[in-house]
Order: sequence, then C-alpha cells, then structure tokens
Amino acid sequence: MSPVSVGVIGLALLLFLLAIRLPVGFAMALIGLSGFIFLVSPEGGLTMAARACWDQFASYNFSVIPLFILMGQFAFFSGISGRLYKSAYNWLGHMRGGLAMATVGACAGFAAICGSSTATAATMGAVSLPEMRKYNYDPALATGSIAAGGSMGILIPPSVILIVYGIMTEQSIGKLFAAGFLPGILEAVLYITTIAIICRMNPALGPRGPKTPFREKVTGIWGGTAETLAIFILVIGGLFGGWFTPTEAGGVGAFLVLALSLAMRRIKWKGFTGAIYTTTGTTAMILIIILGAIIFNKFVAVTRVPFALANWVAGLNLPPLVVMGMIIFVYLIGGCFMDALGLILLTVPIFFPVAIALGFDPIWFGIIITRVTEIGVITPPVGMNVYVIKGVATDVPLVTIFRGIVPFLLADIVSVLLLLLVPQIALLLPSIIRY
Amino acid sequence: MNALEKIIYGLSRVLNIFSGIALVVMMGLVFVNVALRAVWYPILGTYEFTSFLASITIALALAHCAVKKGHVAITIFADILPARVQAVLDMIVAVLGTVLFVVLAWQCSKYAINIYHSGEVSLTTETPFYPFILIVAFGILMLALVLLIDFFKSLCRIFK
Repeated sequence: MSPVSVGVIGLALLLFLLAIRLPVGFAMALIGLSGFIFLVSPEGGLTMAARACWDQFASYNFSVIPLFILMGQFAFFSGISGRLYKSAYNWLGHMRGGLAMATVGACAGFAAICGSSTATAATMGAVSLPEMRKYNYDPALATGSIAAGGSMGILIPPSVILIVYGIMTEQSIGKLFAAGFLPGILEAVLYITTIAIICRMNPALGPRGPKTPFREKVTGIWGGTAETLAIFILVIGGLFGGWFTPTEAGGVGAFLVLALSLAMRRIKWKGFTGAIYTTTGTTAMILIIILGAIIFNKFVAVTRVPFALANWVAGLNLPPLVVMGMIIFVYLIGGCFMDALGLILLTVPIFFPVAIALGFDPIWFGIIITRVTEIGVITPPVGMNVYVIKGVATDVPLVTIFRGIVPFLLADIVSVLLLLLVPQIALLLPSIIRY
Repeated sequence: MNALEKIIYGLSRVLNIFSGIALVVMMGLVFVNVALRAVWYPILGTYEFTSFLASITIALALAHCAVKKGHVAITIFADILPARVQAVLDMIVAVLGTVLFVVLAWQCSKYAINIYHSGEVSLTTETPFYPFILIVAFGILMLALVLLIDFFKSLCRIFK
C-alpha cells in the first residue's frame, strides 16, 4: 500500500471516530500514532508521541494561550462586558435597531481582550439579550446579532486561532494580530450596516430606545470602554512595537486586568477562582486538540498527502483564485461540522503548502481561513455560538436563531469577497509594524 | 466502583487546583520579568520556567476537564441514535481514549527516565527536565483513569 493511500484511509478512519463522538484531540492523536506506527515503526511512533506531549505542553510559544484566556476571563468576571455594552448603548440605543448595533459594537470591544468566539457570544448574550427583550426586539434579530457579533472573537486580536496558526506555520503572531485588526473592524461595520438595513425595511424588528443626554454619553465612556481600550493599546501595542513576546503580552495583560479589577473592587475571590478554573479547563481542552493535531500531522507528513495534493493542484493549471475558492469552500463545509480550532489544526498542514505554492501571502491566508471558519461558528448544524446563545435564551427556538443569522451571513459573504479581492485590508497593518 | 470514582474525581479536582496555582505563578513571573526588565534587569531563566509552569498548568488540568466533559467532540451524528447504541459507542470511545492515554503516559515516563539517565538539564538555570516530564506523564495517566470510569459508566448504561 502506498503511503498516500494509507493517508487517505487514515483520514477516513478519523472522520469515523469523530462521528462516534471521540473527542477531536483524542481522535487525531490516535489515528496519527497508529498511522505513524504502521508506516514507520512502533518504536519510532511511540517515541514521537512521547516527545510531542512534552514539547507541546512545555512550550514557551503555547504558554501564550492560557495567559490570553486568563486576561479575557478576568475581564469577564469583573463585569467589563456590562460596562462595554452600556457605553455602546449610550451612543447607539436611540437609533432603529440601535441595541443590536450596540451589541455588535460591544462584541468587537470584548473581542479585543478575549480570543474566543464562544466566550464572546456567551458574555455579550448574557448582557445584551435582556435589554433587547425589554425594548421588544424581534427575537431573531436579537439572537442573530449576538451570534454574529460573537464570531468576531477569533478575528479581532488577541485570537487563539491566529496564535495556533502562527506557531504551526512559523509566522509572526504580532503580524497576524495586526492583520486581523482591519478585517475585524470591517466585519463590525458590515454587521451594523446590515442591522440598519433590515430595521429600515421593517422598523418593528428593532424599536428605538430612549435617547441618552450627550453628557452621559461622554462620561459613560469612562465606565468601561476607556480602560478596555487602554489595556488593549498597551498589550497589543507592546506586541506590535516589539517590546513584548506574545506570551509577555498575555501575561502583562492578564495581570493588568486583574490589578485594575482589584483596585476598582470589581472582582471577588469567587470571580478570581472562577476565572482561573475556566482558564485551566479551556487550556486543557485546547492543548489536547493541539497535541492531537501535532501527532496527526507527523503522520500526514510521512504519507506525503500534502505534497501529492500540492502537485495535483499545480498540475490542474487553474487560476489561483479558483483554487483559493475551492479551499474556502472546504472550510465553509468543514466549519459546519467541526469546531474552528480543530478544523484549522487539521487542515492547515494540508492546505498551507498549496496556498504558498500558488503565491498567496501566508499572513493573508491565515486571516482568510480564520474569517471563513468564523462563518462555520454560526451556521447549522454545529454552529457553536448558536448553541451558546440557546443556553442563554432558552425560550427562543433554534430555528429562530438560525433565521436571525441569515442577514449576517450575507454580510459575511461580502466581507470574505472583499478580503479575497482586496488583500491589503489584511496586509496593510502588518506591513507597517516592526515585530 | 463508586469509591473508585470518588477517589479519581476528587484527585482530578485537587490537581486542577495545582494547575490554577501554576497558572497564576506563571502570570506573575511573566509580569515581574517584564517590569524588572523595563527598570533594571530581567529574571534569569524566565523563559525556561514559563515553559515548565505551562507544562504543569496543562497536564494537571487534563483530567478535571474530562470529568467536566470539556474535551470537544462532534456530537451531531451520534445524538440521533437510540440510547443503547449511543451507550455502546460511548464504551468504544472510552476504551480507545483509555488505551491511547495509558500508552502516552507510559511512553512519557519512559522518556522521563531516559532524560534522567542522560542528565539533560535546561540551558540557563540547569534545571533537570525529568521531574516536569513525570508530572506530564502523571497528568495524562489521570486523564486515562477518568476515561476508564467513563467506560464503567457506559457499561452500566448498556446492561441497564
């Protein structure tokens, strides 16, 4: 049997194990280890796996993940989300659909200190849904705007997905973060425009809220937005300026958010331990997937599948944009069934060489696939964010939430097309920064 | 059986607390190092100890994460099957997971012993690697034991 066919069988077995609910990381590790043993040697496979465990767990590079998660958790437990929402609401609440726009704005703000989509959706859902209910917002619009807004968590820096992509493909995490910034803003603007358009077409969907006096609008900024912005500028700015490694940015950020919350008496012992245990749990969950992917990729490398695929694609002589369109299609479909991190870890080693061979920028490729997997987070059947929101809004049927998401999917298509046709949206900032 | 479950779950929770302590120490170390570097001189070996603390944070949280069913799985397809078929699938999943992590824990301990004999230490502070590798092996073994409990539980569901 040729290594390539062993690779294809391994991939099929992996899909089967995933379907019977073997956790994603476990399945990748199991297939990777058995496949490597089959193709190379038992001794080689077992040593490779042991080394992989130690190298990934004791990795300075990956230590950035728990630290950035911890920063987001401290911010969450100190109630930053409620204050962010209040600031956004002061400015936008009196417009048609203004509360939904404020939700998107606050999601973008929360995404700037949090690297996960589900965490952003859960947090902002708990804060903004009761408000939108109070003003009789259409449940589909209310839940749809939170689900879509939350998906920005993995694009706007810091982002767990971009960190992992950067480490796997040996790209600068600072540059990737910089590259995610403008596409993230573009996404927020497109979502807000979408809300404005659908509320213009049917004003009953999002009634106007009360107008806030200008003075309160200004003073309200100090309530939460200003300090979030200050920490974001210091942490991400320090990373862009080359003063910090990503790990240092995460550690300093977590420490500062904690210190600020303690100084303002916004976090109690229970919140402190809650933040830590959520972080250790999430870290274990993420690192097992990473470990599985690393072991699986050692196997994929000996099967020579990526090499064969890259050769095959090159032999087709298709225009690069058509190939990229096909890759994006794979991520769209994959994203419907798999969580974003697992999908990226599984597929990047296969598609990255193809994308580079076709002359695409490695930083841009990271942004486009992250942007596309974001769509998977809100599409049926495995839209993680939708289930998270269902957990907050128990009385809203899943179908209604998915219906609410449809207009935002149109906005997503527009922003993916813009990123495809105007790569500078992603590449402008990384070309300026030093690190 | 119930007693075994209590011991393993209890131990997992204790390990998770140590994981949290390692995390907070890591955050503190990284921050103090940056602060000291800005005004004076960085702490020697921060890089190494950040990795060691990361390995403790991750390894000791694995088991508790499994107790809380925190490891991501794709449930969409199996969820529609009858309860007993699901129990059989869960049993297979638990067996595969237990075997995988027992093997990994065993190989990690073997690796730790090799490193111990070769006397390998970190570059700057000359800290031996093997104790940390053993912690990783232990964390993985605990994960395997939690999955073993899952196996017994799914057996109960099959023959109920």
